[in-house]
Amino acid sequence: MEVVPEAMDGAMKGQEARVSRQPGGSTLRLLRVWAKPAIGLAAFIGLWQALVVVFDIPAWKLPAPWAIGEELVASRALYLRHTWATLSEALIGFGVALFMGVALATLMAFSRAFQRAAYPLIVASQTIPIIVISPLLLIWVGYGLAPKVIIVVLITFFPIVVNVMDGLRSVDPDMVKMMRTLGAGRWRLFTKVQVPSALPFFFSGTKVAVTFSVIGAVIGEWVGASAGLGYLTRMSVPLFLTARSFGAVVILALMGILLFLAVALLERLALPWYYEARRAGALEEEGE
Amino acid sequence: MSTAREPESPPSKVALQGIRKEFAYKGRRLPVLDSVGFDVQEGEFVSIIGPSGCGKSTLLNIIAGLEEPTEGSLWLNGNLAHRPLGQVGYMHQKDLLLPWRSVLDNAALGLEVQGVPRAQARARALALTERFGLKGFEREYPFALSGGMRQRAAFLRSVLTGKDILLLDEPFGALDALTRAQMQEWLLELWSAFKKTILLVTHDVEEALFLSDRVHVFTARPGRISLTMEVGLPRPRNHDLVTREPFISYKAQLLTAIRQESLSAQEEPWR
Repeated sequence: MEVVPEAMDGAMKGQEARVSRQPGGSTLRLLRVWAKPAIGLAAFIGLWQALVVVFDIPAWKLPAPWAIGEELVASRALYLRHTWATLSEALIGFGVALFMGVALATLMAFSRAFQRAAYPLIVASQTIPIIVISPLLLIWVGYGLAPKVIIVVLITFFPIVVNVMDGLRSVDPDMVKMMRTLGAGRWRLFTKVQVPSALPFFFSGTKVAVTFSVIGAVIGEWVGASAGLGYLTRMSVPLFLTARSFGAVVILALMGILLFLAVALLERLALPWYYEARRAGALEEEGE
Repeated sequence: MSTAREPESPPSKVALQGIRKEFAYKGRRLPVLDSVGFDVQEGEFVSIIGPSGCGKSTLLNIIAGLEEPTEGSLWLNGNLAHRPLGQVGYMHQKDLLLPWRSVLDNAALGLEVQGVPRAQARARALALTERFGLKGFEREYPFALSGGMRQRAAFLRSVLTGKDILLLDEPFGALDALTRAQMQEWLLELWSAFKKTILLVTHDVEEALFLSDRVHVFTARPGRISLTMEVGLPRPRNHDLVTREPFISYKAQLLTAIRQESLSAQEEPWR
């Protein structure tokens, strides 16, 4: 009796892939994903508009959403100039933080001694009240781009360092053993296992950091600046140009959201294995 | 300790002499292996069974070069081996496939680590996917595969590195019974086709008997060989074997030995 080939055949046939990809339906899915936040936002704006109209709140106290929209359109050249200033501060600072954060995390993952020496300082840097040191920054580096970039870096490098370091250290010890028995040295272990397994962590940190970068730029402008949305807000409020300052806030919110979405999109493109596995897991849990 | 060997006979693929391993545990020296010695000849399939915690995996770690014995010596291919990392293939109960690599790229990983260019490594992996039951799944990520397929991909990774000694640490432990039986028969085919020397650690008596030329039974901690059984079952083997004589008597004999071991283990202060 030829059991061996039969069993082999059975082994091959019986073990088809567990997950079949879901075909089509992407437009519908997109609609389902976006419908709820859109309804929520519309309700919020509608309520706001209604309150202002019903209680006849003066525009210098609380402008109606419609008035803010009108201001955004009317002063678009002004907004564009200040948006550009804030965006460049945020992105330059974020870029520096990205480089610094990844470099520091890599050094700490490679050398426990360096980690011991540097980690307390890195954590301590987050306890520095930014409000306290920003006037000092003006004294040290002046009024230009530098103080804003420094504040953005200070705020944003932290989530990157912590996440990348955790990611580099998150490797399954058995995987390390496996690599060593294959003959891999420290460098191959780093490039082939540690870096790829740290990528999801890296993107988590980066999503937080890029959102914070906008806040950092605004704080920097608040202390001393001649351009930027933070500066614009600060100048508008004492002049009772409340709608103008609200317009700046709306743009800041949009900027944060868009930067976050841009990183999320990059993440999706860079980690197809991560998202496919997660979706497959979700499908299995639903019993499909 | 004598290292002299018969010059005429070919050297054993794996030879262990007086292996002892201690771990420091809460200020005490806890022995996990004691005076373990045996030989594995070229092309043999040898299994180690024993109660959990008997140091089976530690022994494989020593042969793979991941850990050093406290005492004793290890020879591979007739040469005294000191931390022989990268000299033997090692398979774990977990498949340890990298989730971001496709099946093909996972299989090629060992070759890449050896410095083989990626394209060439992939081509060599691709040539064997059919034999490993992975045809058509080369581009899939590991999560999309069944446990048996994942374990076969891990086997392919080990086999491709060209190491002729394979250490298997309960490689089918996580699989369901049916898949495990199929994988065992598949492994025997692979073993004879690729002329590997295999040392398997398991706590499944039937698996050890079905696969091996020789079975070593380990005592509870510290692990020592309490019984060595030559398995005289004819090859090639298939699973019809396991319900017939003499398999059943072999199995009864082994189970009795293990039961005695686990009884004496309960009196040990360690467990």
